[in-house]
Amino acid sequence: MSPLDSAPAAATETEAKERVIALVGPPNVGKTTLFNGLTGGRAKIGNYPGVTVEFAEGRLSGADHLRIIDLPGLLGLEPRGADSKVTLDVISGRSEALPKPDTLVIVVDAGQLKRQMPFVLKILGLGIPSIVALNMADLAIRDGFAFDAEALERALGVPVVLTTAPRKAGRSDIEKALLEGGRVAADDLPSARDLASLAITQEPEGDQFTAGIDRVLLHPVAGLVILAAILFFVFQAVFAWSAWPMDQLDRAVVGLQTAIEGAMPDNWLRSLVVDGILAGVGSVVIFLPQILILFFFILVLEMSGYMARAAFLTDELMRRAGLSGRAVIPLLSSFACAIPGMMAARTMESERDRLVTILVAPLMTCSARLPVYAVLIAAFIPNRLVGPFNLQGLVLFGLYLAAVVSGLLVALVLKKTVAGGQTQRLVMDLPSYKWPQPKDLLIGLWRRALIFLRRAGTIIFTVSIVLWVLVSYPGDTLRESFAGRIGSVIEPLFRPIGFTLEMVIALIPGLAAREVAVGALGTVYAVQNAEENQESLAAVLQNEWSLAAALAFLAWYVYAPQCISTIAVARREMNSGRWTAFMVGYLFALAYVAAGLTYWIARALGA
Amino acid sequence: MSAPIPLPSLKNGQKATILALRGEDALTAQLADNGFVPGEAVWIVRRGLIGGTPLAVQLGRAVIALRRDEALAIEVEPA
Repeated sequence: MSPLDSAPAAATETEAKERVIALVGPPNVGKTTLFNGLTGGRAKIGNYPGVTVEFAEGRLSGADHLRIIDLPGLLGLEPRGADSKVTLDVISGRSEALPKPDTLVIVVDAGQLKRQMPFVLKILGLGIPSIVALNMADLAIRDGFAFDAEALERALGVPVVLTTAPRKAGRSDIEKALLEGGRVAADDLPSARDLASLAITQEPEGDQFTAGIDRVLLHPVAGLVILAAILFFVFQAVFAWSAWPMDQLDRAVVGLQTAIEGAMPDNWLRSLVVDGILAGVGSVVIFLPQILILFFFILVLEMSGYMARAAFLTDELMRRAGLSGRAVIPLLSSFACAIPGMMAARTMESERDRLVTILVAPLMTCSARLPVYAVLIAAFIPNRLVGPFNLQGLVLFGLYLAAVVSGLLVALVLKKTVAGGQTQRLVMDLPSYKWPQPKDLLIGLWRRALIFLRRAGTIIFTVSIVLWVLVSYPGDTLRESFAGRIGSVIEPLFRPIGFTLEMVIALIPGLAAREVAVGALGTVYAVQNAEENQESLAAVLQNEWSLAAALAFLAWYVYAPQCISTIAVARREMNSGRWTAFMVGYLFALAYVAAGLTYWIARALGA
Repeated sequence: MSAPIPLPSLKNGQKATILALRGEDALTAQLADNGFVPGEAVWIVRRGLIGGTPLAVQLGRAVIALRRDEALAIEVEPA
């Protein structure tokens, strides 16, 4: 069993009374690494009710009565954004999800002690028993710092320990302090500046390593070129490296389907399992490799400190589009899948910016659209060269470009209208560069995988069953089924934009996950194994569809919110039914108008 | 002694000392929480391509990104 696996063992009867310890500290002080070290990576991830801020909870290795909570980063006692609000609620005992901590571990970056000392004093002023951890002490000492922890401990009246979170030896002092418990700070504390000069006995010049790298990476031109190159590489990797594992997953699902088909009698239950659940859940699980590869890069970029630089470089561009530099990562992630993209938006401080980012995330062309694009482009766009470029490739690029431009325009319109209000402040640390800790990376990936499988999995599971019923009953053909009947009812609505009954029917199962539409088109036209046999489906489509209708279908797919899991996650992340309805509504409206315009313009041009 | 100027008026790499924070309370409180307090030494490391914003500001051993409007709230005295 993996050491990452699983929640802590159920609370056993221990002699010692359970104590709740919360880690609080500014962002980028290595709090999560400390948490992972103390708990041995055995943690369960929770969500605060009402807001979608995650917290991790575990127990001190070897001392099960010490319950440790890792709280989101905090800079002062004023809430700025959902994250810091949650932290303040928990430490003041106002949270419903978590008990008031018995002890606070105030984690600061040893190398930034002077700057973070006022924060330490503010938290100590709350009167909660505390321990002060000067974290990343090894890096600070390597840079030329020397500390007198005992002097600071005497002055504050609370335990002060130096910690090097990734190493066991670097955690022994804090583990001892945790077992002994925290203390309430003395009443009349010296000023932050005096305390800092008491604790820091030797201070080096600036961080030459980080400054040197930043001269290149933050360069107004070279920095942007490097950022573009990194992003290009990440995108290539997300597609190139995922091909093999996705193939294997696909094969495993098909193998399972075949095995069950052989093992079970041909009845409704077999069809439900094979065509409903396995096909539906399988179509989502197949994206796990892409999501893991994408998050691998996101985590590496984040842990190394580069992500903040990416936000720095793009901030002004994004601000002009009504967003902020911090929206870059969520939006880029949405090209793999809008679900991790929306989840990545949690780090954004301004609720308005976060809302707009989530609202436009579905416009970034996710990988599930690719199968649909691929089939239609292969069928309708001639495979020839236009200048040095392949025409099919150009059309595909055009579809992506249309989506990005639309996304930025929608963001701008939203900011100017419904989601206006104060612009977010940037004020953001550019942390010093460091190597990502492999253990943190693995734990981070494991958590992302779990969240993806749990959320998307449960929803898709349910929807798959519902859709299976809709396409399977009543009658023997899709046309006679509920889905077929629903298709006939709504078909008049789609006739003005050139969609035929078959196209409309294929849209319905496509609601679960976009790529399902390929299979559905296959079923409608009774092409066996349409997904494997794209050429024959392409041939049928060429006969049945006009070019104008095919282009309209592509335009529809650029915009339409055809994915139940995305909508469900958007609902969770925005915590608002109204905004979710708005998102679905505006996307459908855009899709309808875009498909209609495409159809009639193509017709006018003689397609 | 040089005259006080807003932080964005510094040249890249020109060292200065923070004199005061002026502006909206929420902004000055946030800047103070980030360590921008009178007496600290600062200089500008890099500026963004478009409109010279945001600014990467060296503050002690930290580098902090500020938009131009935010940095205008910091009054400095060039060294």
